[in-house]
Amino acid sequence: MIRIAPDILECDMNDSRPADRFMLWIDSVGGYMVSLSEEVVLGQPTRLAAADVPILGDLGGRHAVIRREGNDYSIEALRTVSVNDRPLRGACRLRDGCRLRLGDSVRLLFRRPHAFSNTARLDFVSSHRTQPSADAVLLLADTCLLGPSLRCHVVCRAWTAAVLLYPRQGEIYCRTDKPVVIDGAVCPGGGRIGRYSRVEGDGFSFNLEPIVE
Amino acid sequence: MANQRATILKPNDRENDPRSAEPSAANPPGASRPGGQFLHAGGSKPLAGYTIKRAVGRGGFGEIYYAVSDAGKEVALKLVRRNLDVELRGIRQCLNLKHPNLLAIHDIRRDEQGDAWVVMEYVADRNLETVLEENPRGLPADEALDWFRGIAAGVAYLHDRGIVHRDLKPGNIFRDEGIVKIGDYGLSKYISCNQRSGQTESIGTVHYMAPEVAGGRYGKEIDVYALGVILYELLTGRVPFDGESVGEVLMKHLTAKPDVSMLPQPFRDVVARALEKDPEMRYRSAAEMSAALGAKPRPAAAPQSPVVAAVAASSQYPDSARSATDKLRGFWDCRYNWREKPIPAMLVKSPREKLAELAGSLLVGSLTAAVMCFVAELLGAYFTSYVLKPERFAWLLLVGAIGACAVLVPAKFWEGRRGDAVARRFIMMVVGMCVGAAAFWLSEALLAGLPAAAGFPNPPDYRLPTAFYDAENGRPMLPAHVAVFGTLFLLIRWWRQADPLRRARFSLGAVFVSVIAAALVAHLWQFPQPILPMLAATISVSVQLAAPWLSARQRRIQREGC
Repeated sequence: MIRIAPDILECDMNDSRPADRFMLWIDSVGGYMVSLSEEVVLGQPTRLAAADVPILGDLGGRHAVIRREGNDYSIEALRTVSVNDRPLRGACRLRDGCRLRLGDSVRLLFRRPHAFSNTARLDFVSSHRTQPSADAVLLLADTCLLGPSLRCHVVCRAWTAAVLLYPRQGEIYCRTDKPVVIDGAVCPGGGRIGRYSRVEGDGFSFNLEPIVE
Repeated sequence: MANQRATILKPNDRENDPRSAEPSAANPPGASRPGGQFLHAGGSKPLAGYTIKRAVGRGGFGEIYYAVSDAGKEVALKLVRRNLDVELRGIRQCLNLKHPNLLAIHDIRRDEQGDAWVVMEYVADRNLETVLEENPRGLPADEALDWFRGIAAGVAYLHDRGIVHRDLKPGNIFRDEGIVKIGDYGLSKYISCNQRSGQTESIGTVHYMAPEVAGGRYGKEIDVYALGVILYELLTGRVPFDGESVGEVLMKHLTAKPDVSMLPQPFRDVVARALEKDPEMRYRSAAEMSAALGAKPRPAAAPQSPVVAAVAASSQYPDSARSATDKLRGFWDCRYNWREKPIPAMLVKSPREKLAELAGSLLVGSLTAAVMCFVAELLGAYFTSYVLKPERFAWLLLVGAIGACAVLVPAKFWEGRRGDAVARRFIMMVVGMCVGAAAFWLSEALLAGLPAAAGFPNPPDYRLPTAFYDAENGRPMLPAHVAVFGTLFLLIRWWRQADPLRRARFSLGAVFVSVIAAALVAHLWQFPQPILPMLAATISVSVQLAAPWLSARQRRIQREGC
């Protein structure tokens, strides 16, 4: 059952296309900031410079850029950045497990949990958080797995099945072998997810929320 | 507050929860919730001023959501749907508690449907459960101690305010910006001296549940027990008592001894004492336990009272303290209902008192045996081919009285002491053999002339020594008497029937078991029936009626009076 808040109704509900960035709220698991862009800017949330991943920390408005080119990720330092405790000048490739440090205190961990997916995840090692607050940042490329296995991009320990999220022609789809209900409609095997969609299945539920500036 | 591992109790919770089927205003019967998990979806605003972002999990008695206020403040919202005043009262008492190691409760609000919401501090970091999952072999000692100090300081503060947490477990413990925070203490129940047991419901994950919780006892000691389990888990990565089912884990809490041998000192002694089955033997508060670890109370911790400090100081010499307590404690046998725990005051009796008690018991026992013999004689004659004879009645009476005394005397010696059941059985066997010898001589003196066994002279499949029975008429002789009574006293743990802490003053089941055992023994040794079952019934009834017994009420009074 969904009770829609009044301010959501004011939004244009016909526009079902997800924004470039949205929050993925997974019940019992956590909240994740998902970005579809191939290039994201990390920095402090300020009025002037809009960072794609705004982090509440002692950072510059545009502190670093993470780029995805094909199968590879790279980071470019615009301010003080170190990768695996080495100061970074210019850019370098990112591999699974790279430790990033932005400024003096913001520490992140770059993860590529699944070998067959180009989607990456940024975990917070320090106690800093994004704005709006998220437990991790997902850089969604081709596919994103939510499920109980450690290879999933979002590990949902209590789940019995995995759910696959993937973008296609600017829209987000989900697929799973369990019956799911998207916005109240039964969709066997999955289906298209809109900007404010809620997805429920046996033992799991999550919803999307676009990040509005 | 990330991943919430499904606890074993969860499926039961849902089945037993009448609310899950009950349609309410917020959950109309037609609404389909295939996830069936949480009432409110992300984006909804059931409580004015807050927007729910996602569900976090299920707490002690309600769903917990992560929400953001209109101004942007992150909070955790707990929906208390049962709406029982008892539950809200518990939370209300905690509303104004202030301690860095407690998750702050901001407010209690009601929505339009009348459901109550608890507005709490939100912690984004992982909880201890997740940390332990990531460290399956435990944390390094200093890190474990750091967690433990924070937890103990928070629990000590609760105890100092007269509140028992009742649901301490890693899933309720968080760390935010390096500070340990205890959550879900809304379950805590205000306790006072006369209100120790209350709710009949069992709450809490079984792994952390103290044995006495099963009986509805919710003293501070259950928190100390849970702290012991958590400290063990912090150091080793696993809980001391684990099993395939809830029942197995509970049984281990009630009976098994925790294996603390792998823990370094001082953790070994502290964990062992915190995990004592008997609440009286544990640390009396979290502060005392923390002090025993040598953990300096944090500056924010509640100031220790002089009494606590004195007790804590004395506990620094655990060896001398323990040897004394061991003597007192020994009595308790795990096989007993755990409620039948020893009350130290009760076991401290002077020899004079014991002797007086014993004399009284013996007198009552002998008299009861006389009456019982008469009853047994009549029953025996009525139901079997037993023939009434005055000399045989006299013999039965005397042997019954001797038998009852033979149980009461050793039982008095063993009262309040832990003993090896095998050794006790052996001693009882020797006593039984003496009773058998006395029985034979009495039968000779009284010319009672026991009949031959029914089967005589057809021998059983196995051979009995020829000296056992009179070759002519098959009457049992001295060796047969000794063997029969020896076996009967070996087979039954008679001293339990004389235990002042037995479950009921008089148990018909115990009599029944004694009679059945006696019938079997008589059959085994080809002793004439139904004499032995009659004697066993006489002894059992007289012992139970004669031995002192403390009612549950008296036990409680004694325990709490001291």
